[in-house]
Amino acid sequence: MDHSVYAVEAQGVGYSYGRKRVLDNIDLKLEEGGMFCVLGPNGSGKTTLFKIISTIFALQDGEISVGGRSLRQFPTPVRKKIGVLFQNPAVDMKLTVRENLRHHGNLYGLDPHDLETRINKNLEALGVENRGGEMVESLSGGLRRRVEIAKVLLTRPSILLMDEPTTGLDPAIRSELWSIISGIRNTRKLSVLFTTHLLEEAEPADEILLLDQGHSVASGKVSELRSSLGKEYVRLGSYSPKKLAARIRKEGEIEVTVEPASVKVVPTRGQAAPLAIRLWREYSHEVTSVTLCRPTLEDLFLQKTGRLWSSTPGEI
Amino acid sequence: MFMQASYSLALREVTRFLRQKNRVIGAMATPVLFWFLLGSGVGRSLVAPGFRERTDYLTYFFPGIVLLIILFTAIFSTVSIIEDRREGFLQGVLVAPDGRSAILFGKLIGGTLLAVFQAIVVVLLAPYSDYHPDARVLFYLLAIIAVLAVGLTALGFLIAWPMDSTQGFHALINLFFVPLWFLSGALFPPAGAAEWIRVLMRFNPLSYGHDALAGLLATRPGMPLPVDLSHDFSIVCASTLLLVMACAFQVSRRS
Repeated sequence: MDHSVYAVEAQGVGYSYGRKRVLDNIDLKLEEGGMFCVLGPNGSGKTTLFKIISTIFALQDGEISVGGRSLRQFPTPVRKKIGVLFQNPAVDMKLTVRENLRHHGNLYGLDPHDLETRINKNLEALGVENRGGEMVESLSGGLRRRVEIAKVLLTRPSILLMDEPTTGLDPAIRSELWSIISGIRNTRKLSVLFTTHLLEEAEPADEILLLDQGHSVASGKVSELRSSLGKEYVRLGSYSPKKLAARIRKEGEIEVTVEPASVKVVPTRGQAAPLAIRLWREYSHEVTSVTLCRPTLEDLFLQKTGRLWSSTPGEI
Repeated sequence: MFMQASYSLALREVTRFLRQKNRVIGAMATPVLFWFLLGSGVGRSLVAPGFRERTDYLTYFFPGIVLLIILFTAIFSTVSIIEDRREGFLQGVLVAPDGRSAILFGKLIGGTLLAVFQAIVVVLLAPYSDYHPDARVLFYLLAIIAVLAVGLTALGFLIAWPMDSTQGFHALINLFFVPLWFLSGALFPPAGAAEWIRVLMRFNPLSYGHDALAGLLATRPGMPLPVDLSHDFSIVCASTLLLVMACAFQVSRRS
């Protein structure tokens, strides 16, 4: 399959705020119809990268093409192709839902008659057709997100860019949002690029780019990145992980790592499942829980940076 | 697309204004109250060079109040840029194909419409200040008010665009806009002022706006238009054009 034209392709992208370098030599490729996640802890530079791709920030270093067109040379045609969902809803709280959508359509020069038809369709598709006359400020966070999605899709973009789309939403609404996005992808064949600092949100993406302090630390398909980390392993919960680790190490042919309230045991030979059962039996008096684990994106981050995901600095 | 986008943004300004009752009251009532209290309080107690014969302060102050209304409206309509940025709305506009130029012209058109509407409402009170503009004078007043409104909205835009705090904006407004108004001739005529104040007033484009407003308002039906009207008008137009160009340059620059 030839992927010479990507929905979004970035090469060697760099960005500095004054003397402070916040992005350095970033590459990414979003295939048409694909879903790409820029994953990073707070302060990793993902929002800066997002603002460059969405044309808010000027491209300083490197090249980005969207649908085969250079973002540097043709920002206006690029803007026509993309739909952008920001961290904070870009809707006017003092306008009604319908007025917000109408305003957005006018910004993109949509024909007024066609615009009304599209507004009706989108409100219905997002389940907010009965809220058209209400002020946005009177809606809940979840409904505002729906309104914003309805708004963004008015212009029928081929690429949807989302910056931390679930920020400020409770878990139930997050899940609802992702199912809406998934439905839209299937019906409209959208290419989706999103940023998140939530590891679990990156899992459904076709590919991820893992950022840390402005640098790319890993990229590729989630499954391949996981398998590159090695085998399944066993995590034993313990009140005294150091002592437990010391005993288990004596057995040999296993790798043992001490964690804050657990011990990670990786078999160098054989499978993790039988090992988990054996360790549970032999150390039951010292072990509070046994978990059979697959390598996660958090493990990947730890392996690449030497730091825990939760110990990262503030957002850029 | 650009015109449609600008129109939509201007319409949004007007809609938001009308939905915020406090804003309507604040923008209209404050200058009128200011005029009434200060004008009535000072009354005829000041006789300075440059005051017209038998003119009390309520009458002298009237054109300055029209100017103040335009100024207030420009401030209120451009402070929303900072709110739009903080609330996220502005980002949605900036990623639209003609978003940057549309936001500028939308704000300018919206701010101008609001300022013209409010200033004209106040101009209709002119007979209470012994001014009696006829249709011809009202036409010229409308023109100068519109150009002043565009210029002052552009100035507000220029200040608000790089700012991220409304408090900072208001601090700059107090430092910049209010002295600009003080030195326009709105409060006192240049004739009796200190030499250095007169120099500042001469270099203040708003002085020419005030001069045009005062001259037009004092034109009685059937009288010829003020002789320096075209001079005043040219300076106000040139200043407005420069400010709009500066705004256009500023919005075209991305971070």
